[in-house]
Parts: sequence; C-alpha cells; structure tokens
Amino acid sequence: MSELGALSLWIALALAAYSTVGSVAGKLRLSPALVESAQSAMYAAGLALLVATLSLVIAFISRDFEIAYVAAHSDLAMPYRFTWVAFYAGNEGSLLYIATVLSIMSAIAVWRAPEKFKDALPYTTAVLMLTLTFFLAVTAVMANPFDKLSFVPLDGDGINPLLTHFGMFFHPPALMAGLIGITVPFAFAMGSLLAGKTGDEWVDAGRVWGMISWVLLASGLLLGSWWAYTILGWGGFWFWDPVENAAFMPWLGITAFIHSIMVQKRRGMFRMWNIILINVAFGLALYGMFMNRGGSVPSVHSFGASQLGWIFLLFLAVGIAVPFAIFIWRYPLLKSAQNLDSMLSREAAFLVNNLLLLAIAFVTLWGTVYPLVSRLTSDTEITVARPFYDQVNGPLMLALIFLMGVGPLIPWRKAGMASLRKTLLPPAVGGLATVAILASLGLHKEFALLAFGLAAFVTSGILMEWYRGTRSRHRGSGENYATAFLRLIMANRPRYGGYIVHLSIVMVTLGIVGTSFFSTQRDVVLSPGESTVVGDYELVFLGTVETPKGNRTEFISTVQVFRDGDLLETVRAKRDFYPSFNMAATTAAIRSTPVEDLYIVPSENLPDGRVGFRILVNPLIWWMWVAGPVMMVGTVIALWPQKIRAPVPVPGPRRFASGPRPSAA
Amino acid sequence: MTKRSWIVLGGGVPLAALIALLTWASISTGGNPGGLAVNSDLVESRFEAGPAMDFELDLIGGGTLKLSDLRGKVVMVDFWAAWCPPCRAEAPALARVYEEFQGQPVEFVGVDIWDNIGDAEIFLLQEGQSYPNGFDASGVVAIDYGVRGIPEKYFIGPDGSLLKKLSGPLTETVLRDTINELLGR
Repeated sequence: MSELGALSLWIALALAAYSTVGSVAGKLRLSPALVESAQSAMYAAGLALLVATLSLVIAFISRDFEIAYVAAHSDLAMPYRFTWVAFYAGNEGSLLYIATVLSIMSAIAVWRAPEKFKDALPYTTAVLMLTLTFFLAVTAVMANPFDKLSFVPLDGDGINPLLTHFGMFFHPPALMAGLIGITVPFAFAMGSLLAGKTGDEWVDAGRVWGMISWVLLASGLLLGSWWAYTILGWGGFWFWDPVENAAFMPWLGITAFIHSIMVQKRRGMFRMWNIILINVAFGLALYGMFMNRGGSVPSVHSFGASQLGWIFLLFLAVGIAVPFAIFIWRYPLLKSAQNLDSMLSREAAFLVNNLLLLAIAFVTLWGTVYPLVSRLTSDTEITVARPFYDQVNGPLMLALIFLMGVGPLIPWRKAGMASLRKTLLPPAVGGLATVAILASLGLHKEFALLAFGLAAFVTSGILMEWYRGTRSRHRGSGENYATAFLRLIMANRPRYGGYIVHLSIVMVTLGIVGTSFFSTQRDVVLSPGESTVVGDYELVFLGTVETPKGNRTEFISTVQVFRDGDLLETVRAKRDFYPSFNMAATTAAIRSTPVEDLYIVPSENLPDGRVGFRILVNPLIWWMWVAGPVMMVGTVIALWPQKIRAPVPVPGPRRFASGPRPSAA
Repeated sequence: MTKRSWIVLGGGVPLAALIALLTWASISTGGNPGGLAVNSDLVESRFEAGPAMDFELDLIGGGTLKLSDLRGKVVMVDFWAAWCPPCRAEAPALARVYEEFQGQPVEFVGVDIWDNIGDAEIFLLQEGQSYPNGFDASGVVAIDYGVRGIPEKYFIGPDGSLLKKLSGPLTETVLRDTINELLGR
C-alpha cells in the first residue's frame, strides 16, 4: 500500500503544480484550452489525494507496521475505529489530511463558482493550487506518511491515549479543515484582485466559503473545549494556550469577514475592507498553522520536535507579504459603490463589530507574541497569563454581544431615532429586567450581571423579531403560528439562520460567565464509604473497581450523589492508567443539567484504596455544549441555497417590515 | 504622502516586524525552529511570589511524587527533554550538585515534557540521575508553570512558595549558589 500511497502523493503534487502554472499561463495567453486542462488537473489532484488517503487508511487497518507512520501511531490493540484519529495524530498524516481537504474544497468551490466570476476564476484556481502545491511538497519531501522503516516491527507504538476520546474524532479535523478552508474565500478575493475585477463578483462565493470555514472553526473550538473539559480533568475548558489562541484568532477574523461581506453583498460597500479582512483571516490562519507545526511558543498542542517550523514560517511570510503587495497594487481600483450614510445604520454596526473582533484578535496576538517581545527588551521573559486575556478581552466581548443585539435590529442606510427607540425598547426592557431580577436575587458581581443582562437583551431582540415576523405572516396569510414561524425562517435564511447562530453565541456566553464567576472547586481524598459536601451536593464514595484491560488498567470509582437527602444519581468516574506511556487519562463523571454541572474527576488512586477527587460545580456550562448543535443548525439554514433571484436592493431609508422580505423576484 | 503610502507603511511595518520577531525567535531557539523552544542562554525570570502550583507526577521507573509532600525542603523543579541538547549538557552538573546536598533539606524533581518516554528512560540511564524524574505526558504541569522552553527550572521554598525561575542551562556554581541562597546561607 505504501507504494501506491507515495505514488499518488507525488502525482497529486505534479498535478497541483501544473494546475497552478497552467491556470495563470492559460489566462495570460488567452488559451481557454489550457485553462480548462489546468482545471481538470485540479480535479485529478483531488482524486489522487483520495487514493493516497485511502492507502494510508488501508495501511492502518492492515497493521502495516513497515510504514513508519503507522508503526508510530497505532498498534495491534488499537480498535479499528481509531484509525480515523491515528490518521492525523502526527505531522505526516495531518498534512495529508489538510491537503486532501483543501483539494476537495477547491474542486467544489471552482466547480460551483458563479458564472459572473468566470473571468477571474483561473487566478482563484492558481491561488488554491499554489497553496496545495506547498502542502503536498512539504508532505512528500519532509514528512511523508508513506516512508518505510528498514525493518518490520512486530507491533506499533500505539495511539496516544489522550486522543482516544470522542471529541478527538472531530476537534482536530474540524479545526484543520477550518483553518485551511479560509484559503477558499481568500483565493476568491485574490482571484478578483489579480483579474482586476474589484467589484462584487466574488462576494457570494466568499461568503459561502467564509461561513463554511467559520462553522468548522467554531465547532472545532467548541469540541476542543468540550474535550478538555471532559477528559483533561482540569475542570476548565479554555486556557488561552498559544495554540488555542492560534485557532481562536482566525475564527475572529473570519467572523468579522462573514458579517462585513453581507454589507458588500447588499450594498456594494466595504469592498476594500472585505479584502483586508479576508487577508487578515488568512494571515491568522497561516499563523495558526505555523504555531501548530511548532512555532516558537511551545504548548501542549505542539506536534513535537520537527523541522517544519522554518518552512511554515516562510509560508507565513510569503502568505502575508504577497497578498499585501497585490492589494497595494490594486488599491486604486477598490472603490465602494456607495458611502456610509449614517453612523446609525446597520452598516456602521457591522463596521464597529468588525473593529471589535479585530481588536480581540490583536489583543490575543499580542499576548501570544509578548513573551518574545519581552525577551528582546530585557533578560527576563514575561509570559502573559489568563488574567491579561480575561481583563482585556472580557469587556471587548461584552461590547460585541451588545452589538449582536443592536446590529440586526437597526435598519440599513440610516436609522430614524423614533423607529430605533421602538425596536430597541423591548429588548432593552428584557435586558434591564433580567439585571433587576438577578440583582434582587442577590447576584452582585457587576461583570456577570452585565453579561447576563446583555444576553437577555440579545435574546429578547431575537424573540421579538421572530414573534413580529410570525404574527404578521399569521395575520397576512392566515397560516397557523407554527407554519408561519417555519416559513418565516425559510423565507430569509441568511437572516434567520444568523439569528439562530446568535442565540448559540448567547448560550456560549452563559457557559463562560457561569463558570468564570460562579464555579466551586474542592479537592478531597476519600476512603470507600466516606462522604463529602460540595455546594448543595452530598457525595458518598462507594469504592473503586480495578480492571486490567490490555494496554491499560482501568479504575472506576463509583460515587452516589445526594441532594437534600435524596439520591439523585450514582455516577462512575474513570481513570485509565497506561503503563507503556506511564500516563493516566481520566474521564470525569459529569452530572449535567441546564442549571449546573457536578463534575467529579478521580485525580489519583492511592494504593490503600483511597481516591483523590477533584470536584467542581460549574453553573450553566451545559449551555455551552448545547450551543454547538444549535450553531450548526443556524449555519446550515443560513447557507442553504435559496432560489436564485436578483440581489435584494436596499430600499430607501425605511426600515424593513419584519416578516416576508420584499423580494425583487 | 498619499493614502496608499500610508497603507503601505501602516500595514507593512507591523507585518514585517511580526515576521522578523518570529524569525528571530525561531533562530534563537537554537536550531530547533520547528519545535519547541530550547533555552540555550541562562536567564533569570521574575514573577510575583505566590504558592507553587501543586502537582502529582507518575515517576519514570515507578511510583508517584506529589510536590506538596516535599514541604520543608528547597525544591528545584527542572523541566527537560531527552532531545534537548542543553538539557543533556547540564545533566552531569545537576547530578553532582544533587549529590552534594544529600542530607540537607533539598530535593530535585525532574519533569520530562514534550518527549518520548523511551528516550527519556535511556537519557536517565545514561546520565545516572538519582533524583526523582516524572513524565508530564499531557503537559499539564508545564502549562500550570508556564514553561516556555527547556531546560527551565523553578525553585520552591520550604514553605511551598514559588521563588525563582531560571531558564537555560546552569553551571554547577550558579545552581549551588542559588540553592544556598534559598537555604538562607
């Protein structure tokens, strides 16, 4: 299998390189045949990569330990389902994965590219294929997953036990796909710049692929947090680790982009700004990949010692400098069709939202590189820890949530004071009422109060929109409320899908605020039969069962959870000890409710049968994990293709009626 | 200046600076740009004194070690890896100084990070370290301590407070003086 895999890898590399050169040459020499053959080469490269991927999968399944990568990341005891995880557990496989994802996305994006973009498409193909060429060259030359050992080991080293968790099936691949996915909207932007088509032709493709990257990154980040929460046994989910930041920053960039691109889609404004944003997002994605391949800031996520850092640094430098130069070259062409009418308009709200998102991204970037800067200026290296991020980014995020409530309610072009008051009054009342109720219940942490108030503000705004839209449909057409509501959402998917995504962000906010401000933690050592009290809960430790399981020893501790004398649940917390790695992996017992999580993790198993537990009560974190599916549903609705119709022109400075959109069709 | 030149300056300079910084950082990590920072120069770091974060390690060669069990001793926690050249360079010095302070309230704890456990075992056999060494496979201890490169050492007082951090390879003299200073001599 290794020969077939290696061969397809090299073929894919040749095809990608040809496609890059062929697209540009064909475009410049006005040879449609050449352009077309370059495009076919792109599709063929995708096929070759699928073959390479399949070869590696088969190598894993057939336990082909002659292949160094297979021997390093699996063993005979590994269940087949973990092949998926083992595939990207190391540099070599993850690079192959990234290349495959990029080639598939490229093929679909180019195939589905809108007709009006056709002129610039060869350049977009070239940018996509140049990126693919880079990844394939690195994979083939420096980190080839099909390299063979000089001998055939009887068994492999096994899979890193930390990766054998459900979350690991999705977190790394979603993040890697999201990071590389930003290449697609970036390539459309670059294509239109290179072709001198600096209008709005690229906007639809840019928006769709921007949102796809966005949802991949967002779910990757959430799943990573969930994984950290359930298995690392720290009780937390986000650590401002340099590599977490490296994925968070491009997410912020692409979030800004998918908002701002709406303004260009609807009003032909922000043309230059959108090009800048997608470049920033792409640059941050490159930075993220550089950090992941071993940047100069080590972290738990580093892939281990490798020489790839230099290559990715070079890629980062080129990936920032060249687009910047192209942007400067085409700068005179980037004129918006219209100017900002008023600071009280949805456009302006989007602009402020963009600036806030970028501010958070740059604060985070600064925190990440600050240790390096401090080393330049003095002998001591000063690291930036959690308080810095919390203090600086916290207020910025609150401001962002406030805008999330205001933005969608404020009309395009120019808002009248009277109409604004009318639309903003109900959500404002909702927010203030929440603050008042919580304060009267004895909640006195100002920041948390403000955050809950804003969350209520956003939620009431969205509910109000839904209610008004549904009611007007119900009145207008006599549909019953349920039908009216569904049709309302389906009639303007980008808008109502966006609302659902906003709701999921509110849910994430609840989780963050709940755990940041109201979490309780206790560390106790209990003998079987002993009990302890944490918060409202009384916990009785019944005992531990120790089971040898092939590559590990499993310790399962059973704990009964009581509240007010009633037995709520009997939970089992697990600690697996892996002798060959000399490491333990814990799985916390989590009793999850929308109000709070009771989180029990066995941090040590003592020889005398006693167990050290870390016990946490984490309020509201349930909402954070539920937000993931909600967010995906929202994104899918927003992305779902709608019947093609002429772009919706923005009418005069009058607010849209809620409900069915005045469509131009 | 035109607006365009302003954009060139305003965008280009910070971007160039960022790239330069990352390049410099990669170079200064001593031929290991791809990976993890190797501290090749001795640097003393300051931080606000506070209690050292407790941790428990599974020791290489069996057993476990809990930092808080070492209360009453001056503890040096050393983060290292087998592939890191300066770590290997200073290993004999660490072994000798550790022998010197036998019988005094001083303990060394090695924490192997970003490493393969097999390589670490060989390293310890070769260097003959007699103090406890553990493997921080998930990197939790390293994150708790904010380790940015190796070798990196944290000094903890008898009362359990974190006093000092030294990055980069140590000489015998520096290590001896530091321990004596913390012992109050």
